[in-house]
Amino acid sequence: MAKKETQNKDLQIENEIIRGAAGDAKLSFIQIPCDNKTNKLLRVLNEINQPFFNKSSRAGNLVVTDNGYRTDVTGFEKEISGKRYEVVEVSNKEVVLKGKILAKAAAAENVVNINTDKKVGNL
Amino acid sequence: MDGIVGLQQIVACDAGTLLTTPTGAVAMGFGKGRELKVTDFRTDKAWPNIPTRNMKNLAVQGESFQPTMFMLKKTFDFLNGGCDLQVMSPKQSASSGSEDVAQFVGNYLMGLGFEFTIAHDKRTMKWMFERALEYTAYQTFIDLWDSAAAVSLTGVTDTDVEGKNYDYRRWPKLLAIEAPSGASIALADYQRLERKVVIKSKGFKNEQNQDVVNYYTVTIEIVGTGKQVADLVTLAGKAETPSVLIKEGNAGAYFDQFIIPAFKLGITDEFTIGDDKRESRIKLEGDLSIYQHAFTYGTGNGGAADDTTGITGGTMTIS
Repeated sequence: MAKKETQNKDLQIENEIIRGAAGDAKLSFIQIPCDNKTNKLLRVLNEINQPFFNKSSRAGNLVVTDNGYRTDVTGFEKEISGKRYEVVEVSNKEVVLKGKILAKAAAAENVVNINTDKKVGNL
Repeated sequence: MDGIVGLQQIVACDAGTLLTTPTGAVAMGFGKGRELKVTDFRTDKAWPNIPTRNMKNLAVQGESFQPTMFMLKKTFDFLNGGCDLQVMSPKQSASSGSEDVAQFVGNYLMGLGFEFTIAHDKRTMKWMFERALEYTAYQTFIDLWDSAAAVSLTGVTDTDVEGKNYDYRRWPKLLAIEAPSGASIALADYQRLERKVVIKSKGFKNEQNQDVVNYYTVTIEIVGTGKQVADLVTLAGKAETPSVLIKEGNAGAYFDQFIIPAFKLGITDEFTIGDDKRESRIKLEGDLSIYQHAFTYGTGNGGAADDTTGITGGTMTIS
C-alpha cells in the first residue's frame, strides 16, 4: 500500500462546561480530524521527542466523532500546550497527522446540560 | 495473526538521547538468553482467595558475548536511570517496520543491574533491566509498542539490527591474575581447574522495582589441584588485602586489564586433602563504590592507538 502523506494541522484545546444537578464541571478536550475507521494513536512529544502523553482508540480514550476523534485532556492543558503531537496509524506506524497543540483561545465555551444531554448555549 | 517469537535487539544509550541523537549506544549483539517478561507486581489477595491487581513489572535481560571495556564503561554510566533502552522483536509481518518496539524512555526508564564475567568458560556481560509501572501507565505503555518506529543507531543497522560485531566478541584468554601485583596466583596451567572474575552490581530496589546501585562487588576465584605445602606457605604469607592485577587477552596483542590497589579486596582460601582430591580455592572479594575507578585506552592500556573508547581493549583502574 502506498504511503499516505502526513497532514499538518495544529490542534486547539477546547473547553466544555457540563452542567448537572450537582453543579458545573469544566472539561478540556481536543478534536482530531482524521479517518476513524482504523486504530489510531495520539502521542504528544516533549522537547526530546519522547511521547509523554498518549491516547489511543484501541484503549478507548480516543472517542469516535463525526469528523474523526475526540479526547479528554482535562488536567493536562499546561503540560501539552505548545507541544508537538503525532497521530499514528497503528497498523503500519505511519504518521497521518502532526502539528502543535494550541492552548485554548479566549473563545466561547460550550455548555452541555447532562440532564437533557444537549448543548444549551454559549457563555 | 500470531505474534512472532524472539527479541532481535536490546540496545541502550545515554538517557534522553534515543529519540533525538542517540549517544553512547551499546547493543547486546552476539549473545543469548534475551527476554522481555511482564509479571504482576506487589499484588495482594482479597478474601476468599481472589488475586487483585496492582503494578506490572517489566524485566528485560540478556547475556552478551561482546563484553568490551566500552560496554563495561557504558554499563556504569547506565546505572541508576542513566539510559534509554530500545527492545525490538523480529518483524511481525512481511511489511517493513512491523517489529514490536518497546522504547523505555522518559517516564518509563528502567533500572539496571549487571554481571560482568571473565571465566575459563566464557566472557560475558549480563544486563538485567527492571521496572514496575502502575497499572494504567502499563496499559498506556504497551499500547505504544506496535505503533512506535524503531530508532536506527550507529553500528546497529537494518542488516544487523541485533548489533552483532565479531570485533567486539571476547573469549577466555588468560594473561595474568596477580595478588599482589607482580606475584601470580593463577597457578600453573596444569594445576588450574577453574577461574572466574566477576564484577557485579550491588544495590537495592526502590518502590518501582528499579535497581538503586551504589556499589559493585568484585570477586576473583581460582580453584586448583596439586598444591604443595610450599605453595600453602607462600599463600599464607600474602597480605590480607593485596593489590590485584587481572589481564585477559583480546584479539592479537590487545587486552583488557584491571588494576586494583591494596586494601580493596580481601583474600581467603580453602585447602582440602581427601581420598580423591587435593584442592585449593583462593578467593578475593570486596565491594567498591560505583564511580571509584577510571578507564584508559590506547597503546599501553590494552587497545589500539586510535581506540578512544575501549572496543579493542582497555584498562580499568580502581582508586
